Amino acid sequence: MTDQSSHSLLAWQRIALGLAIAALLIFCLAPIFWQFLTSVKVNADIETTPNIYFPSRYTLSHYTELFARRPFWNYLLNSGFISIASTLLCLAIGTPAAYSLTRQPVPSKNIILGVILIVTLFPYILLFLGLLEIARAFGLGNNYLALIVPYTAINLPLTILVMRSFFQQLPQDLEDAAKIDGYNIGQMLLQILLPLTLPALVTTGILTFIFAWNEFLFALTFMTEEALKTIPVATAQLSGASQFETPYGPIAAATVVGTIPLVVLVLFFQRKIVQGLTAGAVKG
Amino acid sequence: MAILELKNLNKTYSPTSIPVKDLSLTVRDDEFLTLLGPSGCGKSTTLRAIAGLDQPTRGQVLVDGHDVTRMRPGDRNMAMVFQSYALYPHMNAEANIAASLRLKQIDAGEIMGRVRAVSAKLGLDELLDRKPGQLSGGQRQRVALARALVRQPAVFLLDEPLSNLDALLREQVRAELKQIFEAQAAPVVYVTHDQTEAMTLRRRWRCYAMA
Ligand SMILES: Nc1ncnc2c1ncn2[C@@H]1O[C@H](COP(=O)(O)OP(=O)(O)OP(=O)(O)O)[C@@H](O)[C@H]1O
Ligand SMILES: [Mg+2]
Repeated sequence: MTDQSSHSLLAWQRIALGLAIAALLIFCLAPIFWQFLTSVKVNADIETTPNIYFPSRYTLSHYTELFARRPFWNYLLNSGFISIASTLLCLAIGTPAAYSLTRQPVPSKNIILGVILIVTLFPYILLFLGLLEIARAFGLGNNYLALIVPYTAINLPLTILVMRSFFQQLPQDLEDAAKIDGYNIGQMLLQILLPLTLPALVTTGILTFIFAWNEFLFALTFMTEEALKTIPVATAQLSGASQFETPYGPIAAATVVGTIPLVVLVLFFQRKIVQGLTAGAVKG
Repeated sequence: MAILELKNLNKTYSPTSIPVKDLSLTVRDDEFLTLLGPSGCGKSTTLRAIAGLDQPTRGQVLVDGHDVTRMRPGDRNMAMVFQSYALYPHMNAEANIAASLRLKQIDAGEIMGRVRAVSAKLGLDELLDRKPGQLSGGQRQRVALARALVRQPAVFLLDEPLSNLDALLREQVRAELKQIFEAQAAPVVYVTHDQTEAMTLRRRWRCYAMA
């Protein structure tokens, strides 16, 4: 009797859970799904009122237009290069910095950490005018560096804070054992600590990558040359044959094309993000 | 083969916290020194100062008459077994044991030979390709021991290596330890807060009761 009621309760709970998950998914994914549907509709279906939600005719012409009539491969490569470079640079600078701030005697460590924390609270848009002046002074307009350097700098504080909290969780004995085994600091970081903080590296790396991939304002201002534009800017600047026509189809297609690399990236690294590698480090 | 000497070793954290007060002693290569004392009396602090993980406030650590006080831990040719074992979780047992030899760029054939010899002695042959997470507490303890033995260091330092084992296993490993270190011609400093342990291991060795 009790057994059965607890069973039915479980089933009831399972249904409720399923419904909640479905509602959440629909809520989150509906705009993306709408963009996807728009990208495969023919123009006539896009423009009619009332809306056609599920079209009967499908087309890939919006996609072929992006790649045949416009240099979308080029934009993808620009975005990819800038994002990957910023991410790697951010990790390469942020990780050793985080380690020093965790374990080494750095003078006025707490002040440095406080400043880093304050910088993360700073809205990055406020940096914009200053950066524009700097970019102009160094002649960095239309240069990949004009985006790579600010993207790296903006993401460094978060990278340092996250990596620091991971380094703090690693048992100190592990580093002591490494020192006694003869690892120097560099070898210890690369061969012992980085493999153990891989999930953290991947997580912060992905955050930086997504920021750099999606960033719009700097990319719009610092890159005016057609050949250097990134995906978000190129998507926003898609225009139709006449001034009065908004090319919804190609814009939707460009949005989908711009999202796919992020989705692939996250799926690819998902296991690393979830995995905790420190199991078994110390007694257990 | 080697003699370990401490001269007026002192570690002062603050005027009220001086865990190591001017400690002077000599451990010869056929000796097994047991540091015995209650929790918090400075046993680990002493060991860490000998290993070079912490700088002593005053005093010297000498190996064979050479002052090693300012040397980095990796250059002192000392091996240490930690209370928590501190095995590298992402490496299998074989890589854990061989890590220090690989860093010294010793020829791969010799590394293999030495790892084989040590793991045979400690009964680890079957476990070499397992990661620490897949080993029991006692097995991890033996891997940690193997990691120290394989180096054939000038000095062995052991910080309560048995405290994570259950009573039965502790008894057994204690006997093994005694045998293994009798065969090593190197000074051994062994930290424990367990009197029976200190007494059994002492036998023909000295026991230094702290504070
Ligand atoms: N960084 C530090 N700053 C101030 N005091 C410290 C510091 N590290 C250790 N101490 C103090 O030094 C004393 C000795 O510590 P130690 O770790 O050597 O003890 P122990 O004898 O190994 O004890 P146990 O048997 O519990 O391991 C303790 O009283 C501890 O509070
Ligand atoms: Mg201790």
